[in-house]
Amino acid sequence: MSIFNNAALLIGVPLLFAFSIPLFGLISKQLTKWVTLLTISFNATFSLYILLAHKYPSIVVMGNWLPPFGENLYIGPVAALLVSLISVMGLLIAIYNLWSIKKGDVTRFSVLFLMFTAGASGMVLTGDIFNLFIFMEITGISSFALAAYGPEKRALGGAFKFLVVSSIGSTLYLLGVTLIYTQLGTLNIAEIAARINQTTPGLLTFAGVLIVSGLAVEAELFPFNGWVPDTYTGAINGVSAALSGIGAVSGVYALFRIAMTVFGKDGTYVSSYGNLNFMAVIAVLATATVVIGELSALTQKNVKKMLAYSSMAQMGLVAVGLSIGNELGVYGGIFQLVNHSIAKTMMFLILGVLVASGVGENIDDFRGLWKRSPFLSLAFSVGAFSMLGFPLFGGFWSKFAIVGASIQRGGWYDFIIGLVLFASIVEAFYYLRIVGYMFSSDSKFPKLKTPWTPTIPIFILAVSIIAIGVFPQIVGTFSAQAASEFTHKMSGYVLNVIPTIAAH
Amino acid sequence: MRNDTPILVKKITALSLITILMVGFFWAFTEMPKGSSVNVNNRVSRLYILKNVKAATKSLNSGNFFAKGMKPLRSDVPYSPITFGKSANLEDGAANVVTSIVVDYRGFDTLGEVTVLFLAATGVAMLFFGKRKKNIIKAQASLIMSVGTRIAYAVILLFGIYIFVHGHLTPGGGFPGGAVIASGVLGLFLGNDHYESNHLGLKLFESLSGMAFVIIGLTGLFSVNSFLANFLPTGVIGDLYSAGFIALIYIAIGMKVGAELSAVVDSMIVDTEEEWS
Amino acid sequence: MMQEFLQNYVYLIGSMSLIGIGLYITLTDENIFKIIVGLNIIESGTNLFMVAIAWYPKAVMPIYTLTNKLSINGKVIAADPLPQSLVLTAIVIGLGTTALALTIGIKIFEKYGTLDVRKIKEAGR
Repeated sequence: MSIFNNAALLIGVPLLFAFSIPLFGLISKQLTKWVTLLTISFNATFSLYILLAHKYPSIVVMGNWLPPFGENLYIGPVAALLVSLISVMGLLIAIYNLWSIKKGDVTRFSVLFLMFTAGASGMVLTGDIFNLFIFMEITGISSFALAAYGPEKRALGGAFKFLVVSSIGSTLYLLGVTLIYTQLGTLNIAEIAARINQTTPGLLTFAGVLIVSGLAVEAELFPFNGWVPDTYTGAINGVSAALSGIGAVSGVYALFRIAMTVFGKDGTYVSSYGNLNFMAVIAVLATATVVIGELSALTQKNVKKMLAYSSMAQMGLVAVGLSIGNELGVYGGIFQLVNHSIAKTMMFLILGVLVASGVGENIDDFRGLWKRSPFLSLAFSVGAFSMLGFPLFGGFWSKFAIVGASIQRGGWYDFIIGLVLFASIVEAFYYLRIVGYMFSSDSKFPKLKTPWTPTIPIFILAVSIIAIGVFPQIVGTFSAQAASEFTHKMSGYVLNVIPTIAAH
Repeated sequence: MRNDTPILVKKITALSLITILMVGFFWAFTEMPKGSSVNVNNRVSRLYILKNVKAATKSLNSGNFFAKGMKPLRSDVPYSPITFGKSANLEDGAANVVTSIVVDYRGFDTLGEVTVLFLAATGVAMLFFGKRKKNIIKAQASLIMSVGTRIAYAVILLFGIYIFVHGHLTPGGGFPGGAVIASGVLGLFLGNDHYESNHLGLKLFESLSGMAFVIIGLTGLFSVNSFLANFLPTGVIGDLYSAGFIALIYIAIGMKVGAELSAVVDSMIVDTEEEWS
Repeated sequence: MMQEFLQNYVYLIGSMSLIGIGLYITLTDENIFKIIVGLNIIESGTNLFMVAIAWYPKAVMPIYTLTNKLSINGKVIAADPLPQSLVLTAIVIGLGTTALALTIGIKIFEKYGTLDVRKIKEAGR
């Protein structure tokens, strides 16, 4: 166990600046966006330093009380990778927000956006099962408010739906945590994970059902994802990008941290303690999510709604990969999570730029876009190809790994991967339809004038998709370490947090 | 919430879901300790109540805390009996054990909790942003109401401050204290038709007290090398000047919650007109 | 026997019923305000549940005072303070969620002129 207490700054600094942004807002509204930008860039730099200087695995002790007595953050390979991902995505969206958020209450929007990013990083970092609930609520409350922001009516309905579903989910999660506490008397994830077989199976199963269904709301799994299309469509594009590129990442992480590390049973394929195998349940739910998401996306004429459904389906694909439960599957799942986050963020940002410059949200408005704005159409196609898993784009490697892993596992996973591949064909159909529309026909409308600021994040994201596609080891090395953390419960997680737990 | 679903189908689905939940709960209840079989000595709270977490850490580091099969030996951790008014320099000086958990042992949760409330207040104010029209309370307040609320405000303010200053000794603390203060402000709104709260003051209070909390945490990081660690002496248990940084944090929380809830009341009670230009 | 039952189950059943009632309201009702009330009932149920698991017969309050001893011969006799502190957190979080939900509800009423979920859906089409 190595202790790296300074990493508490990843939470502390955003909090300090979030509290002080209203004071900056007294000076100038536009200044607050820069404060958010600089704070998130501190987070991004610091987390990239942790990732690249290999400062993990280490724990961060809060209040000088060592785990399992106090609270702690745990920086493992997964957390280091995902915090870097979340902070970098947050940074890029903050750059986009410099241009896009000009009206309304800019000061408070900056506070909420900053805390949304920090809360998502906290969810990934925390090592305490109740603290996870708190960070879920921080992320949740800021995302409800962000989703309701904007002049459009439809934003409110989506935000309200999200609020209701998400608060029911977090209540269920809290009940599950309390049930486990009655038998084990602790809230530390590492201690619960090590001692989970000391609970009785009935209670464990029910608590697991509650916790998994609570976390599945944020991870966008069927049948808890009814909020996704409305909220994503209603929110302004920068917020939709943040929800799919940041919120969903932390949600899926929390789900699998609980399902694999806390309830997981070590083995060739991770399965769960209790009467019910949660990994299998999640696999079924995730497959349903993929199929339903892709089929619904196919029927949409509205590109934003289509992206929302596709985002749901992609999260299902991530969950399929992780729920296979061996190293290759988790490798594919984490890789897919990174690819999805990058590509979907970029596509929502592109949509935001297009809508702001007068192109409609409907699929017919995309006809001949190639002539009007070559850069944006190219970037959109890059994102679409990465989603589809074309070779030389990021998504290829992750889909390849997921398919390989399920073939390795065999059994009924053959059926699951069959359904997922079928859904991929559906996906290919509607993405290629848009790409075809963009490049095929001519447009009588004049050329678009693309503003300068939002093209920076879009350019960076497009380049990184191609870079990952050509050199998959950029993400692959970290994602392989992450896979080994997820699949080796004791040596990967518990012993790093409480080294003496298995001394006898 | 789907429009197309008939109401009967919806009701039946909801009822069956709830039935499943109830059955699950009963199943869990039969297996969980309840009533007289609850044993605090089996839980980590034992260490918090006896204030011997440091001793437990020592035995954890020497490998004696977890027995075979990873069962923790919480009852074997040495402790010294605590006498109210005599025991000094404990690892945590609060007489109220709930407070010591909320602020000290699990202080990070509380920081998050304050943030949640802050974000909620921010969200409320953001959604109500716009040109302020007027107080939406239509009825004219009587003279008794308008004088009474002003007198009561002073008393309520004092009581709120009393609650959060004594948070480490008695039930209460920053959140109840702040809520009490905000109720005084609500009284002012109800009693006076043209009451306008001091927005700049509320904003300053909110930001500065929140920053104070984080800065106390960062002081812990740089002096004791752990975020939110206690860096002050804890004194004699039961004294007003005891418990180290708990009182400081609760004062910050009390001011923050008071200002925040007042701001929520303020933004909800005044009609606004949106402007997106 | 009766006392045993009351001590063991009454709070648990109470909290469970609150959660059930709240869920039923939230899932079936069409009025936004009532949905928010349902959410609040669920929250109360959860909080009651958490306090209930902290308590056992003859437990003393977990506060050191001149007369209140929390342990006898190394055995803690106080009620469990940890769930109580968790409830404190959960209440505040519930308050924040409710405030935001009410705000969104007010905004919806301002823009759609109704609180009925079905009418809002129709207006959105």
